[in-house]
Amino acid sequence: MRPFAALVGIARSQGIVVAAATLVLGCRLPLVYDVKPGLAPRCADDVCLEVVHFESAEEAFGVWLEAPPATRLLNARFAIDDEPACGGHVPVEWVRVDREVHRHGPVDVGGNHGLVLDFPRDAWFAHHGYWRDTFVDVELEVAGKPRCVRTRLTRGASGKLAVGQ
Amino acid sequence: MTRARACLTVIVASLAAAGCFPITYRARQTLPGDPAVPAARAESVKTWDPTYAPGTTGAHAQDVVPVVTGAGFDATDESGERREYVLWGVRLDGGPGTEVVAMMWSPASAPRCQGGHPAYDLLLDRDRPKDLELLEDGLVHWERPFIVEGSRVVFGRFDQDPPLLHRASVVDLTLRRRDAAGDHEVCVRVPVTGPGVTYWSTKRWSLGYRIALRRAQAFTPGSTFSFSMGLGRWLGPVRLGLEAGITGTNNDAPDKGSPAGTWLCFTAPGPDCETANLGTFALDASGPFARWGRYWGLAWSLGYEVSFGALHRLDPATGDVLGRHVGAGGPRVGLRLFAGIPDLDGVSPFSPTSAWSVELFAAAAQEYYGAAGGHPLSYGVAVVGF
Repeated sequence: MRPFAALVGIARSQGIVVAAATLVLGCRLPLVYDVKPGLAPRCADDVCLEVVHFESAEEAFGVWLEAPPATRLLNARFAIDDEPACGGHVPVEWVRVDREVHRHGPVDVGGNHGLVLDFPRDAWFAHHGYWRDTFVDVELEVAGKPRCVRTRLTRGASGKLAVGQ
Repeated sequence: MTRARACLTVIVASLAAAGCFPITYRARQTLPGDPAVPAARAESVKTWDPTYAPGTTGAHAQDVVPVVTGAGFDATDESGERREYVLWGVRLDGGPGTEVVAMMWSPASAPRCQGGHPAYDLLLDRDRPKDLELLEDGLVHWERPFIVEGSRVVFGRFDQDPPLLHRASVVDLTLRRRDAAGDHEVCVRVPVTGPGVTYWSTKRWSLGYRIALRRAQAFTPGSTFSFSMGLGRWLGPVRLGLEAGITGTNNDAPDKGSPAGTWLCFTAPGPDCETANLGTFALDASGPFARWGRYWGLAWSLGYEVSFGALHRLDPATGDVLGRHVGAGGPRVGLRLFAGIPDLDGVSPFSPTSAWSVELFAAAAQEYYGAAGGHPLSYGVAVVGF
């Protein structure tokens, strides 16, 4: 009887561990946001920028941008928690503007464009992304003036998506 | 047959995996860049740096070429690819602020900042936070130019050019500085290979393989065949490895029709042979001590090995199969001729490396249990990967 009781005890304790892990992880895995442009654009001073694709643990972000003719993309950064807008320490690796890949910038982005911003492979996991506030910052120059557009991706406290809201 | 196929699969898979790890070399002896200010010198090189081709990314374990159109994000194009590059690192003292514009890797005879391999990507070492082990040491900086303050390592990702790794070459940095005279560009030339520049591999862990043919064992005079796998850790110029494997002979019963003698017991057991099924463990220290050209070198090996298992032989008088258990252990010394990875000019011959080698070895052994019946001193030949 004793071995059986021990087995039941182990199963119960393991069950609690599994249940706890499921409660914690189940709310946070995985995070996917994928929409067509136009659902929730963020517009200010003639520039509309919208994150249309984000998937936790994947490198590429999809962005739709509508900007005046004299607009240049200077940089983009992945940031966490209290890092200042456009001061995050993980810069973009490459950018695709419509069909064309740019290995380095700046690049002209005046008009309407679909952008792919690709970040380092492990940027998400290296920053424990499921438990942090995460952002993507796009640094533009509009008519010679710098502009930083920040989009919140996730809320660390809840582990939920914030993009699109 | 299934067992043999499974063993073969394991062997082939492990051998194939052995060459799939990037190797980084750290500069030990360097020459200062020219001009002397801002100060720059060689720091490191990764001679095989596999990464996604530009425009390719990973999504759901596929290499895809994503685009964003008016219809949204599309990652259905699976024509993405990965490429291998060379990643040079140069330590640069940017002072209060120096802008990095471009980087070029070229022969030492090339004109400055012209006529070489331009860097596809420029990377900067991470300044913070350092506790993020998953992130690479260098992060790509897409914006150009980017600013370097203080002493930092600037990396450039270049096309593969194996011949250039083996002759005098330089990395040219195009920098922009601001001073009282205004903005001006400087081309700093940093020798990265050639006289006065030496390297040491940062390789720490390595898998090991050993396929050996041995003339005899302490407990049987017949030849045996063995296959071992192991894990090694480089401690300076010495690789300390732990091996485990199987040793034995062809398991067919000794055949009177097979040749007499003990030379071919491992494959065609004759009347003088015993069949052997042994487990083998070894602790092995080894290290290279000479290199010639791009590939060839010599290494030493010193180990202690033990074998345990069972032997069977046919009693010629009765025709019965007689079995016994044996265990023995002893030291082993070897000399290896290896074909190493083609690293770069200036790597110390004592530096850690990855290689395949042919080893001639001698071994002594003493029985732990079971009757002696072989030779306390033996020798053999092995193919060793490390």
